[in-house]
Amino acid sequence: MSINFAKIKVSGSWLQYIGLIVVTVLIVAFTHSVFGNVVTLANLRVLAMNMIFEAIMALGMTFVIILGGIDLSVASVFAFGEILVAKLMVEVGLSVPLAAAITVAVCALIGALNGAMIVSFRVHPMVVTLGTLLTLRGVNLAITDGRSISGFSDSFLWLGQGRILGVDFPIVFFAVAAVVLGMLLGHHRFFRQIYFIGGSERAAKYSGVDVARVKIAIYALSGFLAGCAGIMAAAKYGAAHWGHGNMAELKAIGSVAIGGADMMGGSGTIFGTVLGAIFLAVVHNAFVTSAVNPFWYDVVNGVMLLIAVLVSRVIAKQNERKMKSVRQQKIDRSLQPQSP
Amino acid sequence: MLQATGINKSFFGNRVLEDVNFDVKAGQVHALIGENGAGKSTLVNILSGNLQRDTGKVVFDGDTVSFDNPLEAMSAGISVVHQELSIVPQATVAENIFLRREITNRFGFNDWNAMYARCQAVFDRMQVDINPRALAGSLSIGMQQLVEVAKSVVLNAKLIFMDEPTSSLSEKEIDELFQVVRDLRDSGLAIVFISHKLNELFEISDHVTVLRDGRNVGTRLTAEASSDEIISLMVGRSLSKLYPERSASVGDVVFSCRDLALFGAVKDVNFDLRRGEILGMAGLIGAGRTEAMLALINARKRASGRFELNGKPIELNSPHEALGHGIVYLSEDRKGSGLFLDYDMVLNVSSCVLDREARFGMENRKAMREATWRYVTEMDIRPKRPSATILSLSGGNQQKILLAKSLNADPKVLIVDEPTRGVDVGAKAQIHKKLRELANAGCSIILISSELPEVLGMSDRVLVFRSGTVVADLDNKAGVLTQEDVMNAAVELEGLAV
Amino acid sequence: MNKICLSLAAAALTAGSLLAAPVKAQQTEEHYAMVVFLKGSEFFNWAYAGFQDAAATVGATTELQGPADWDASAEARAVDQLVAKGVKGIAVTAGDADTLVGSINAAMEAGVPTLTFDSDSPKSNRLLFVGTNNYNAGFAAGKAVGEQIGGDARVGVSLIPGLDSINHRLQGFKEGLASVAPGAEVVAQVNDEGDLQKAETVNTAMLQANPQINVIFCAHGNPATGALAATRNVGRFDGPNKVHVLAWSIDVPILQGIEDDEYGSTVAQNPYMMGVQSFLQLWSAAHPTQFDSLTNPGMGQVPTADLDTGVKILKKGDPAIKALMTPPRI
Repeated sequence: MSINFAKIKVSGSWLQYIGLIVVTVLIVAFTHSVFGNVVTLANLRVLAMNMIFEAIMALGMTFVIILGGIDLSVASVFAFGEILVAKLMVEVGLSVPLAAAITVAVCALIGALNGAMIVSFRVHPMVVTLGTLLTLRGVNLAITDGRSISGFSDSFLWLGQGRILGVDFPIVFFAVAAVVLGMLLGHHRFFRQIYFIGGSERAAKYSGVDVARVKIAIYALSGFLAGCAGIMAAAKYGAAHWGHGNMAELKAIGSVAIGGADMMGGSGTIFGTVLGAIFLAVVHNAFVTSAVNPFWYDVVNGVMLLIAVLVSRVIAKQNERKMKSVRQQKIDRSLQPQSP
Repeated sequence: MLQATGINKSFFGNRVLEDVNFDVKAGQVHALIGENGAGKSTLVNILSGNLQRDTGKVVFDGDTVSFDNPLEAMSAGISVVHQELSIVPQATVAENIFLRREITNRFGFNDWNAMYARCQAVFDRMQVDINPRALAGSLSIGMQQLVEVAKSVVLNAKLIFMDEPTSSLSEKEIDELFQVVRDLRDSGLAIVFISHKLNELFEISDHVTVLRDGRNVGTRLTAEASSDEIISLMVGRSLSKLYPERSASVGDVVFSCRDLALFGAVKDVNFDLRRGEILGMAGLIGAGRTEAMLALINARKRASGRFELNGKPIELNSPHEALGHGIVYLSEDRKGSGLFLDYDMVLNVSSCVLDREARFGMENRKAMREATWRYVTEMDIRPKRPSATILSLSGGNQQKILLAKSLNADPKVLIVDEPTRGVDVGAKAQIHKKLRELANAGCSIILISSELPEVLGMSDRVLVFRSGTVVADLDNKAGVLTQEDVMNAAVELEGLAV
Repeated sequence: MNKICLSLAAAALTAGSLLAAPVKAQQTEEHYAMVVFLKGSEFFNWAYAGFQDAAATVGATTELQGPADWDASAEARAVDQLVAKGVKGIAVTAGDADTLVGSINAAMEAGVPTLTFDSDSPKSNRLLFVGTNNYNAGFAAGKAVGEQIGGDARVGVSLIPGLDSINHRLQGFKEGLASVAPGAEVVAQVNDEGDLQKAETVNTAMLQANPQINVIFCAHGNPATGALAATRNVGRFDGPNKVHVLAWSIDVPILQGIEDDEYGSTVAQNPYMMGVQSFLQLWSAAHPTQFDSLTNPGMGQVPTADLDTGVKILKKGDPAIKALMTPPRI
């Protein structure tokens, strides 16, 4: 019996993935057949690049959300990463690798600080990371006077505009990061712990999990990825500006949620997040392609998020109902007149 | 194996452990018993590394030890099966068992097959049938408890603390667990077994240690101790009688229930309830007693059911409507759905009847306080301070507040679900006394309890549930019903039904 | 299982019906796009209305893209997407000049005519910039003040120091003023930091220190309300000593304030014309004639210099005020 239930639950989330893939493909097919110019190399590249930085942040967000937390600060860490790497190169004159290394380290540190505050103040992560989001946005504005920084070397620009085998570097980065992080999340002992923390923090603690350490590490990972995205974005646009990546945290969270993760923690996969990010990118592209008033884009994103939540609920409900009907059969059987 | 001497521990100046000595020998089951707040959990937490002792010495396996965290204790061979399960439902059984002990390759990646195989081997040794690949959440509570035990076995623990492991298990599951415990004991492990249930201690333990107010008031060989002796050690005096006297008169039928059904849980439940009667509901966990009562007040949407109160048909479409008819349900889950933990006693006691106590829509704090004060004195709720938050109360006092809350609604039919779970002996007796007083005053009471002695001791009549329906209606006015009578009915159909 | 399929179908339908709305014969018509930041703001609504209306005169269609905030990177991505989609031309206002360089250059390289309007991206290879020339606008404002007040004009200026655009406006203002009223002069400048309350404080102080001031020139959009409050603070809100406040905005409250005799006048840029001219230039670039553009071979003729859309100084009773107070239909 127990094995059966496990199987139902697994197939439930796969059903959600398949549903998401089907809807995504339907939208692509529909817009291509009506408007054309969708399944072209140029458009697919633009489509991917359009969400790529949010998607990279969504990878880190997946870990954070499985942990039972949330990281609203990624958008401003992202912009801070842009500005910091730009300042280090343009104003301090550091080399590209050094500036990039310092930047990702500082961004990871900011993430770790988020984690440390969440652990030590015992405040809801939403509050702490919202505070970081606003503070850092202010810092971004203050240290740039609201102006952008530009004038980067070509070797730096390659990080955002260069291509490997015809694929943009940020996309390659995302793909490699997704595979590596997916492997780690699926099978590595350190990262498996976050499912336990998200599922039941107390249980994890009793089992000897160093909850504080894991939390800080995961928030640091989120900050690290946001910093990487920021560096590549500065290279992609050739400028660092405080306004870049505004509201990116919502798209990142949206990708994770549409990918089927439970916002209460304890479940979610990198694969789901990748599907969620692709979905959001496709929907956004469909809006540009069809030239519908793009204000509707937010409406569709919101509706899809609600549908994703609904689907997870429906799946959970069905599992419950299946379990109940098994029990009902047992009751019915036991009520039948006994025959020898 | 473990010798603790002179353990002291204070929290914020409150002495919770005072010069406690505690010895555990290998190959034995040592029971630890005491009222709530006697210091059992604190002692376990200190010995297992969750808390640090103030003074004292612990020798484990020949070495003097001092654990900074649970992980160190685990590495040394001490593990704890907690009362609240530390199982994560979204992960597989094997992953739960191997958490922090994963079998990995040298890059830290889990070797799933090795973990499943090792896990299977442990289950085989324990002679339990659990699939290591199943999600832990899909197992019954009893199975999850066994998974907890398996965790300790995998850790090669030499000493296992079990903190009230039976509190939510059915009799059959308890038997299974005890079998596992005996096997482990026979293989040389030491087991410290903490429970409120005396009969379990007598069944499983070799030694019993009683804690009272943070002191070890006595360690006995179980075989030489009597339950009266243990109880008097625990409470510091002999309880003259475990259960209050039954009332002489039970009146006419007040409430009747017909064809009650809840999809997947309950079917064909029929019963009558008389004035001044305590109707016990017995049965294994999952037999559908709680579900039936929740369906009765429609807190869970029932499939069918007809009800009569004082001979007139009534509708019970919501807990609120039931309340209006004087039918009150007292949740078994006092922390989750019974009480508002962060609020004070007054608000909790009044939470059912805010409408009634209100004047012009405003809370009538004065009336609320007076009512609360009445219950606090009647039921000896401590501290005697209505403004205390529920969180600061002990389990027994919380349960009394829960009872006070429902009494405040003037119930004609009071349904109490596990009213004494996790409650110490003294508070238990007070709750029993209060329930009997209510019945004598004409209130009809339905009592659900997993402790058979309680059901038998309190009830005038016992309904036995099995597989979602009532399988026996046993009279107990004379109080001569035995545990065997009830258990026979509860498990009678087992062989035939499957 | 059915339920899931149902909800998925519902999702697809929702998306589908939203997308299906504007299917009407799009392939055959030429399609142009405008990209803005702060999408939904009144100023850019005016600009897009002009863009759309001009397109309608030649049977072309348009769309508006861009973020509702200051995120210039979202503008860059919008430009990339429009190029991939294959629009005929793009008019973009640069939320950040540098961020858009790459995308604008890529668009031009792909052969999509792209220009900037209102906010320029001078380092990019855009066709041209369509918008207000700050010197000329300042000159017009100074000339209007000189004509109205004459040689007695004593002007205080509320500004943010250090910004090129504002410096150009101030220089134009001084020269415009001198061109008609040689006796008039600018007697004080204050830094309002672009903040309303700050503007009220510093302008009050300025009026107290320089009681001869009879005109406050607001050199950018933000401080007008604060400057007006300052005149109230020193008791020169009305009556014979009323200070003439010259605003730089076409926000409805300011326009209303002019009709109510609160503000003296305002410098009105013309976003609608920016839209119209942007479209006409793009159209021209997208339709090469006998001779290609000298600067951008393969494209049609457009001016190589920036196009000044000019300003009008609005005083009470100007029929344009009423027109500007009715928001455009998009």
